[in-house]
Amino acid sequence: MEEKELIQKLLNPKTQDEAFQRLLSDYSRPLYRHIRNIVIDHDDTDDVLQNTFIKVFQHLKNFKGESKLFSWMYRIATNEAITFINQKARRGKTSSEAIQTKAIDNLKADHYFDGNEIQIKLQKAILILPEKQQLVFKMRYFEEIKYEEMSKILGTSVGALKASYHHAVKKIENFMTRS
Amino acid sequence: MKKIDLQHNPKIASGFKTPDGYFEDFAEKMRTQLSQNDTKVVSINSNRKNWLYAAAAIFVIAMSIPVYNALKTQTLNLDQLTLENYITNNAHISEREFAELLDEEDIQKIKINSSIEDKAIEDLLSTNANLEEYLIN
Repeated sequence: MEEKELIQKLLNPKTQDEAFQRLLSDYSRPLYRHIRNIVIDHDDTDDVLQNTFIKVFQHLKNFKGESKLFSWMYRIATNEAITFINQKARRGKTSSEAIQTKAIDNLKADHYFDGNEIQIKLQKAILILPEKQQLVFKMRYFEEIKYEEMSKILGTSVGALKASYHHAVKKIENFMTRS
Repeated sequence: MKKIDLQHNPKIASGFKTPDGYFEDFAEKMRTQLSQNDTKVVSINSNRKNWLYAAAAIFVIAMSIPVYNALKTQTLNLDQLTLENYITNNAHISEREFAELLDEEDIQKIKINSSIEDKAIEDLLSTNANLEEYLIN
């Protein structure tokens, strides 16, 4: 199904259910992975993913098709995930970095994490990066999103993204080699 | 210490996994949630809009009262000030100038007042025993 066709079906009450099923089956897995990489915890990811699809559904009629549905949904998911962490930090009267550190510390006891020391070390290394650089690294390294797509999602030039990823890799390698 | 090389070493997986059947359950959960949310959102939004319009109208009216009062007071003050200035600046008006300002009607009113005064004088004079003395002196 073409993207335009999918959007039209989503906006039509008669075809909405079928189209939404398609949207969920196409996007829930990649968006889950994207959100989980940001918020770390599975239950938090579940909340953010729900909020993301609700927002997508509510704002679909305002979607002008200037960007691809893929990048538009990723943008919403990214904003929702970052907002979620910030709100959690505000509620706990702490920083978003502290919230992420705690989430990584809890990974060992997490039922939905089957990594070992090296994975935890990598997550800790990512935390030393600035917020935007963390996003770039996770989207490229774990999700393997192309720079062109990433540029549309994050609103940053391809050149800047490549440079950012390169610096992120160097910092992470240094951190992991030393510790 | 072993050097870590992310570019050339085998990729380190994130290690994140999901509960069994999570995405199937998620799709079902979303369908239910969106059908409920859709109805609620419309009604809440329309009610909220009406309340917003009403609140905005009351706010505008409430804000306009002190502005109206201020403007009204300012106009009155200005009139009194103008009047005071006029009186101050025109305190040297001569009797002749006053007379010129009087029209026929004013003069008639003055005449009536004068006749009453005349009558009072006559009465006073007729009942006054010392009239002759006043006339002599």
